[in-house]
Amino acid sequence: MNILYYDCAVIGAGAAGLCAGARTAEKGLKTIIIDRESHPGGVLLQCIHNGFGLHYFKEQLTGPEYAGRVTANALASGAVLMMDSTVTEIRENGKEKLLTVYSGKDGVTLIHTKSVILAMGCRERCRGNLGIPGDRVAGIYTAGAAQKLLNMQGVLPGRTAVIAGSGDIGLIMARRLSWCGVDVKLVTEIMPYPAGLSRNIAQCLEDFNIPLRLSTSLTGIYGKDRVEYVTVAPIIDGKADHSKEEKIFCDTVLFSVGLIPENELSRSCGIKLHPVTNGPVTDSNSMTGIPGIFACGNVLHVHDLVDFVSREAETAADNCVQYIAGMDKEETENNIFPVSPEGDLRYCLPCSCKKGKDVCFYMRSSAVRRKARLTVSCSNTLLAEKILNYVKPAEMISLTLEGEKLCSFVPGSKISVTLSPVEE
Amino acid sequence: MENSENTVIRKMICIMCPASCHLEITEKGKEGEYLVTGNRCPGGKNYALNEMRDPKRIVTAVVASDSTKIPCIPVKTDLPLQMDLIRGLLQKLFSMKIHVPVQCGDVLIKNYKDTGVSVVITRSVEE
Ligand SMILES: Cc1cc2nc3c(=O)[nH]c(=O)nc-3n(C[C@H](O)[C@H](O)[C@H](O)COP(=O)(O)OP(=O)(O)OC[C@H]3O[C@@H](n4cnc5c(N)ncnc54)[C@H](O)[C@@H]3O)c2cc1C
Ligand code: SF4
Repeated sequence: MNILYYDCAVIGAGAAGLCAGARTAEKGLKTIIIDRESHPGGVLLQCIHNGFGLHYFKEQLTGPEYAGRVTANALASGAVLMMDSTVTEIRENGKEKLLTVYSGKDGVTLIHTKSVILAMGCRERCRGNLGIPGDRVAGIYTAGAAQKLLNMQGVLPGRTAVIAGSGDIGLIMARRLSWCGVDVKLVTEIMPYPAGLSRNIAQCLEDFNIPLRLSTSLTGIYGKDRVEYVTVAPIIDGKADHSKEEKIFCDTVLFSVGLIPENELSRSCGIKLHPVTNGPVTDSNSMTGIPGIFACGNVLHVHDLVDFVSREAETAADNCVQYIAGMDKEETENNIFPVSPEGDLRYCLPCSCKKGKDVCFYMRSSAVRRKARLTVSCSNTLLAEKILNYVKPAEMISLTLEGEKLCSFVPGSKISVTLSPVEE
Repeated sequence: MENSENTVIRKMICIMCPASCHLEITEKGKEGEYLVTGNRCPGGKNYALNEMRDPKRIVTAVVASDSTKIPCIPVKTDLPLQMDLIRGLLQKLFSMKIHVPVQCGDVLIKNYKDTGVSVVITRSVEE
């Protein structure tokens, strides 16, 4: 068995892991980035469309271009990339952590590290998680699996398709398939509003006259060996109305019904997970419940913009550097303010913050609003405020609070982050 | 007619950045002159005017390669291409094969049909 020693081990070489690892290495930590795939970049490599990096690189890039740049940065920083290697276990060993890594080539490697940054990304929900009735036939894919097949292997998944769910991956695939000559007949969405970004509705569906049916459920998939048709029905009072069921002929069904942070590893080492995000609960130091283990990117909560992923990763890296610098000092003063999402907010991260330290809150709305007010307050005092236009669950919201604004408050006081509609 | 000047003739979503602004286009007196509202930056106005006159899109695709490791190499147009030329360009890309090694940024097709739009490679592949 090989044994390696590092200051920081990053799990995952997607946008989050590459940006975090580049930063910790630049700041002098001996860093290793581990990924089970052969090429660094994560999900970006299969996202060949453009629309990445407008904030972070001030340019519209495609996924592979963004991946290329963050990979080059990581390599230039001196971080070590360990590919084709899966982390199978994280253990605490006093103040250090032990990672068990398995690779086909080198067998088992044990990594001793002072800190860990979780950047494992997320995976797609699949049909099994939804319980749709019908036949077990070929031609059913998650949108991301179809994307990988088409963009990485060059294999067309079918000729005529129906897409269940209006998440961004499904919308991007609707355009991609149309450009490849596939007839995309319909996109269905059970909610009364689309799950993906508005720009993707415009450029991926409207450009191709692909209908989007809201408040509609895919009720069955039928065929002999291959999908032959699906049934769809409108949702009335929260339930599919089977009397209005309609048949749609197609040979392929794609599911684009959301992503779940990939946290089997986190769970098995005892990290507490958030009931709404399914990612770890973190404080304003990007730290999970276990000291020295940090999290960023889609493993923490699902992002729609890679730019936010990169920024969150750098913050996590900075916090990791600070943690290692202050490892011998115990925090004496109690300086924790719990954060509570209120009003229309589904969740808000981090789950707590500290005085004297700037914090960027990331959150999602549970409702669609033309105009809304976002406020941060403590003990009935308003600390920050922002007016937002076109708020929707698909688009993540961020807001920075300066740490000094908390100086006059007693630690332990609740910070309320509230999103409320503005009447016009 | 008095109020026809203020009638919104088209609504669209700006696709130039993730802010996805909801744009409204009003005809301004003379035909072919438009007023754009709802944009949060000047880019939105340009987008709307282009959409009214000559809509264009960035095209992305993959092209087959002779690499032993990466069977498909991603490409994009360096500028938006007229929408009615997209199918033809895609047909051409489907029939091509890229010889590796290639660098991200290498030009695959220069100045497609004299549009000033080129197709560039978006992933470096060594072997
Ligand atoms: C299909 C799709 C389309 C998108 N479109 C856009 C867009 O147009 N614009 C935009 O800005 N953003 C877009 N995004 C969002 C953005 O690209 C992603 O949120 C971001 O790239 C995620 O980065 P990540 O590093 O968190 O995760 P990933 O890229 O998923 O990276 C995680 C990595 O961890 C590795 N890993 C996981 N577990 C282990 C383990 N146990 N051991 C070793 N390695 C492991 C995986 O192999 C993977 O490489 C899109 C996302 C998706 C999924
Ligand atoms: S108008 Fe400007 S800010 Fe709004 S979507 Fe277009 S480019 Fe973005």
